[in-house]
Amino acid sequence: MWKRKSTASKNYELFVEMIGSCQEDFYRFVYMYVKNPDNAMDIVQEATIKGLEKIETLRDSSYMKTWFFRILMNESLNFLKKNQKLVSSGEVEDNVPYQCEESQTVDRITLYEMVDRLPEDMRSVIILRFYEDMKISEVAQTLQLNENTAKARLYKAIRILKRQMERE
Amino acid sequence: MLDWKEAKKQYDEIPVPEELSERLERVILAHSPAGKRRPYRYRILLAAAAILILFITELNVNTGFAAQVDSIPVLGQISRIFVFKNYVQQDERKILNVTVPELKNTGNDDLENRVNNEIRMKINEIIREAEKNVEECMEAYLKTGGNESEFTPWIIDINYDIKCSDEQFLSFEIWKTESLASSYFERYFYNIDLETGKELTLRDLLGPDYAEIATAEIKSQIEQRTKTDPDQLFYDYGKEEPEGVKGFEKLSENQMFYINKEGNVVIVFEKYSIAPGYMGCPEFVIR
Repeated sequence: MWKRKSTASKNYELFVEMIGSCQEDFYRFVYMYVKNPDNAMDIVQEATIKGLEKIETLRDSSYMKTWFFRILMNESLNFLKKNQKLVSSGEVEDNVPYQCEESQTVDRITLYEMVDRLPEDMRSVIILRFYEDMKISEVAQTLQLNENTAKARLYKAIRILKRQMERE
Repeated sequence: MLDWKEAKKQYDEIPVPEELSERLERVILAHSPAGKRRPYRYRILLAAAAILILFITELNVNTGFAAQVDSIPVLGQISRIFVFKNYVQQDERKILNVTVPELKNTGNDDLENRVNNEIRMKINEIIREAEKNVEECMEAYLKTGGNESEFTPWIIDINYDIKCSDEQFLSFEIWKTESLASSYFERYFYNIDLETGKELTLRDLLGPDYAEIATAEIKSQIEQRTKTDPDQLFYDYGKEEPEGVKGFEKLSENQMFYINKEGNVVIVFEKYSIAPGYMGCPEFVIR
């Protein structure tokens, strides 16, 4: 007979299942920050270990996805900080032009590349929203923002991207 | 216009090293907090997952089977679409999983020949396109320092679904997915009037005012849906999310549609075209 499982062990199984089915998403998400396959793999691995250790503390499994994306993001940012690669944006004004690198030739710069050049906080919102297909509420949960702040950040990023697109 | 579909495609193309899944599996087995029993459970879970995948693949691969179930005793549904060919082709770069349907039992040889030719040509074209994608992805992978022997083969699935098959109408779709990347999901619809042997247009089904009728119906359905369910989001509706993409305005000339079992027209929009990706391909029944 099956025993009723505790929430903790159910969460554990859900987590393992999620790692099995979504690992490519997790990898790509981290890769967007660190831009190196080996580092990205290390970070997904580290985050998975952290997740396994902490999964018992997660009360509501419906937050598992955003909870784990947050771990992934924190791990990525910590890595970049340690390696001094994080360009801190602070509060960037709308009108600050985000220049293409000069090495960029006459080729049209794509939206994907433009997203890549956004300051980290805006980039995260865009990646979660458009690449990971998250709802605004999930984006907000992942970034631990309130929904309005997440929305405002998203719109600001879109405004910048649009303006840049027009300039192209 | 911000082309999110294209941008997501580029994101989905970031190659994932094969080593990743092995490493994560090891981590999971090693870090089972409750000691020795967890790995065992994990193994059960893996087995369960494998069975599930088998199930899903069975259903996916063999839609012919589903189609037969679909069309045998259900009211007025007649079997006219059969599996012509079902094959898997595999090399280091890709696993191609193709089911080619064919039209039979219509009593109209010309129609069958024409449609079957069209289906085969379409599928060949889809395969060529997909192979090009694989090559591009491989190129990008090698350029970014990937090793050819570690490339995870691209999985391409081509199959079909029957939407309606009664005395008068035959409506079915051929669809394609690539490597589970949702931005590569594509669908092609065939709507045939079996009495005339002609391919149906929206004008045939909804009359000369088809565009106005469908546009009004879709707009009212969008408004109703967004009102009753806050998770339903369409671009430009309620101005909640100016995503840099124009929302639905009016029906385009070569709008995708099919006919459902009740004989109603169902308008289908491509993913990302009028709503964010998590909404999938929005569909609207026009009565």
